[in-house]
Amino acid sequence: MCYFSRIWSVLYPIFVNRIMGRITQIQSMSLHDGPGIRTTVFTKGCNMRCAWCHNPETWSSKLQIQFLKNKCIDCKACYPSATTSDFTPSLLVRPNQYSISESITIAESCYTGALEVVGKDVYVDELLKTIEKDREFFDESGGGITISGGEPLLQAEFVIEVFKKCKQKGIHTAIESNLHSNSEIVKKVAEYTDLFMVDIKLWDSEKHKKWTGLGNELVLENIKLLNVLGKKLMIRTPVVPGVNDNVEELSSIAKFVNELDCLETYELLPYHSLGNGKYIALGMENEITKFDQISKSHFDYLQDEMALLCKKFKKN
Amino acid sequence: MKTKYDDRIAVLRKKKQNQTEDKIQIEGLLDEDDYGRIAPPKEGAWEIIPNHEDGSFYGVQGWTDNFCDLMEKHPTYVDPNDAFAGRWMYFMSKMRPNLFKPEFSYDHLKPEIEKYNIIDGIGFDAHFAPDYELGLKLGWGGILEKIRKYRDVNAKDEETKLFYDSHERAVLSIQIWIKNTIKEIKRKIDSEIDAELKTNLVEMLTVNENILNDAPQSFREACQWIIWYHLASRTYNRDGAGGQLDTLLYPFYLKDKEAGIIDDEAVVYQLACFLINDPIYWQMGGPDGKGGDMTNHLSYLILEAGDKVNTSLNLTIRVHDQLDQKFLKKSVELLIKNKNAWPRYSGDKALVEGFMRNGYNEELARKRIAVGCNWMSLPGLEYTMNDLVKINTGRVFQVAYNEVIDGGFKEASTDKLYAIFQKHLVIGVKATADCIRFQLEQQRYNEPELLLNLLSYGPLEKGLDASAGGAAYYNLAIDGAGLATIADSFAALQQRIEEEGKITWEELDYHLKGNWEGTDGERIRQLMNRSDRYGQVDSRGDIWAKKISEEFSQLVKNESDEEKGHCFIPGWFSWANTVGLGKALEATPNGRFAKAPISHGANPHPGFSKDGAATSMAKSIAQIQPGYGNTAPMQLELDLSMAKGDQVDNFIALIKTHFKLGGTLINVNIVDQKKILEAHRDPSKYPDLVVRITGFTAYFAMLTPEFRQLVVDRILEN
Ligand code: SF4
Repeated sequence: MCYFSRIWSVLYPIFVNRIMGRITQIQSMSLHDGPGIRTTVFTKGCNMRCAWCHNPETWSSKLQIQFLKNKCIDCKACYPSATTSDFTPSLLVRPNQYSISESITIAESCYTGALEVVGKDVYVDELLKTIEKDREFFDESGGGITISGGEPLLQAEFVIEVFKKCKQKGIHTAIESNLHSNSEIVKKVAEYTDLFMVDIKLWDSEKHKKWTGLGNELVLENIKLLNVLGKKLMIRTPVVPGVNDNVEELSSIAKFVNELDCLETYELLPYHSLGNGKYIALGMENEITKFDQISKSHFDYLQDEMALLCKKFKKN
Repeated sequence: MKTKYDDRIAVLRKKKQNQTEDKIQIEGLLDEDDYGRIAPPKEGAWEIIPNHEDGSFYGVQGWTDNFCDLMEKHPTYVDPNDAFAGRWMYFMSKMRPNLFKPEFSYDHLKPEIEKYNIIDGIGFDAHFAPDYELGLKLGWGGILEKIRKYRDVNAKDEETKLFYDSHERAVLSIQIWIKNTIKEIKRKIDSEIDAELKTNLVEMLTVNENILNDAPQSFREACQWIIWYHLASRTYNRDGAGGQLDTLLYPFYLKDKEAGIIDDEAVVYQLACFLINDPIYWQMGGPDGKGGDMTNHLSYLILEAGDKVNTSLNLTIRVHDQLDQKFLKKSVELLIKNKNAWPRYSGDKALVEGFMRNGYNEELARKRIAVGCNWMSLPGLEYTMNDLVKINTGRVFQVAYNEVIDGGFKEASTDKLYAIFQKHLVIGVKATADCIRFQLEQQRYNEPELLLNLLSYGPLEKGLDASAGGAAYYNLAIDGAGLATIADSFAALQQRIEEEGKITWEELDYHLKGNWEGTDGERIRQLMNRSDRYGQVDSRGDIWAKKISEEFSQLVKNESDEEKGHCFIPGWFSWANTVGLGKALEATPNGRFAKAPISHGANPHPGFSKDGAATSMAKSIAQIQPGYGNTAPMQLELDLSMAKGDQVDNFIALIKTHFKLGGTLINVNIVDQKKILEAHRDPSKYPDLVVRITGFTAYFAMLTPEFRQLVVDRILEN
């Protein structure tokens, strides 16, 4: 890029007040993040730390480097010339070894995808262009956009702007949020949101705090708020062995959601161990918590019990 | 719903499985359709009668002598559990050591055929559609009358007389095969001890006696007549084209229902037997001449029968605006439930609009139906060479690339490369069309279309073979192969050399010539491979693909000749030739290794984008349609997350949107990845696993390991 285009790329957004968001990924043809065929945008940065999380790359709001060992062909192209022979690409994912800008420059020399920058800043209008590529599929299937995370409400301004534009274009909007957020923000986002998909992970706030890092009072308050606002709600509970895989814990949640007029569905989602690859690739091995796989028979039993308590219960 | 016929169908399914296993044991693996053919008995096997010193047979006399001899000696096949008699066993056209009479030299075309790796189609047969309605109206007796009538009118010379005599002999010999089968049914009746099966055999006997000469009257007779025709036609030269099955059989169904001689359970059983007989390409649904929907109750029963047999099936649903939505939904439910790669879907809008661009009217365009692997045909009206003639655009690219490099690295650019590519594409397409022209001149003397002539409008009336002026229309197909391979190659060169400057032409050429050898080679290969590829809707690869497709399409159209009645129609399709065409190709700038397969049909290469979204692939493929009524199919490989009941509506939305955007044909595999990997390791574990290879389905266990690997890669990477 020449000098002037660089300057222009910095100044232009300021002139036109372009809003930017930090995301990890855009997944088209998403089939399980709301109705119809959807495009799901994963934002980067989360205020919770659920011990069973499958997406640790969305925790930090900072750019990160990931190293996928299986893609490394040991070509040494990433080895900074100045460093000594004790360099290995996996060092880039360790905190404090290299600054992020140094790491990004090094990662760019990797052509195999072994070293990659996790996180990307996108302007709303750029994102809209990508989303609109699947417009015809949304229209035919009743789908649309879902913003997921991480926690999207940490970037509320971005979410509002994206949804506002989507609504202007007649695109259905859904958000997957933990709702641990200021109620004013929730209200503002709700203005442009057709559907909220929210987890109630545990009923007991202390346990909630133990397993996610935060209590659930705010979550429940915001769910009630959205219900009053008449917003469609899909509530889910991820069922994790040793955490909440018992009827006592789940039935309190089921009873609570059963009272919500705007509840579309309540679901249990079985915990699947997808391995620890992502944690390792990001140098986050210390954060790994091991859980057992939930048995199908036990999960079915829990589903049957919840179906008795909640009339909008949806079996998986 | 369980019916009294289910046990019989189960026996037939098991038998079919055993027949497939036998075929693999006796004949080895084969990267092709199942065709419903069974291995002939080892004892007293039939052998061809050569009429040429090269050991092959040619010309109308040779073909007639061979066919009649085979028909008269063909083993009979009767199963008391089956509603119908007959199976075919001898691949007569494949038994020849040589396809084309050496005296008809096309040496003048060979340099270009070689240079551009053209599948020339010379001496290739069938691949146009008979009109079964004509056969059902006339019966064998009526066809014989027709032959004799026109012989009296037209046979003014020896050649024409021989033409008619040969057709007459062919029909008489088919009747001998049926007569022999009738004898066998009688023998089976005598030895059958189960009362119900005996009754079934007695009915089978009556059906066959009734249609030996006369036109079929009942539903079962109509099905059996179609079976005899296609068994004969398959034996003669593979054929395999079907028709619009639901409307074809509907009058017989209605008549029998009104007369109270059949119920839906029996119809489903008979259809199940009909479908297990041969995975012929049948279309269902779709518009009539005026655009109204043709779906009827029988369309549903055919799906039900398909569900009961669930073998290798090539049923196509023609999707149009007026299509019965319940029918579409039911078909998708079965696709998802059975995961056996059927049915497939054909997009009416683009096919009709495209075909009309050749100058045909809407009513005729709607009659052009999906009856072949990738292909469309007007039953009984056209000679097409569908899916027979292909040009490896990868080779055209390679010739152009070498020319650019010979001109010096400093002068190299994608603009220059494209200009030279265009130059060679012009020559390549013309050479391909010349091959077809040669075939149109010579094929009648090499291999007349004895069987398909019988159910076409024109050959018998005019005394001319369908390949040589007998047919009403000559809509001649030329398919391009390797679109994604070359579009991605152009895109990678543009992005990595010209825009990013990450590599020079010289460095790239070094790695191409060395087939990406060494760690550095692999690094550069990955760089090129991870470029902005075709399949993302608006990527560099997509832009190149559109440009190339438009160019190719126009060049093919330019070969048309109104005076001669030759209308050339472009398509993108590689059939199962992705492996063979790839072997003829050195390493390409998209990061492909030398001799690796080229891209599949109109599909992007697997791994075309990070999220691998079917929506963007569907849109990309819709954008590169050649646009004259032949297809550029989308091959969809979906994992089990799609195979849930709640995804039916999303899948329907995907189909409809692809077609709205201009798509022409969708082939689908819904695959359990674990199962396919296990089957790859040990195919005998899943003898009934069916995959859609391209337009056709095949038993996975029948494929060669190399081809199985290709299918596995495609599925896993998507
Ligand atoms: S550049 Fe990439 S592939 Fe090469 S050594 Fe570094 S991480 Fe591995």
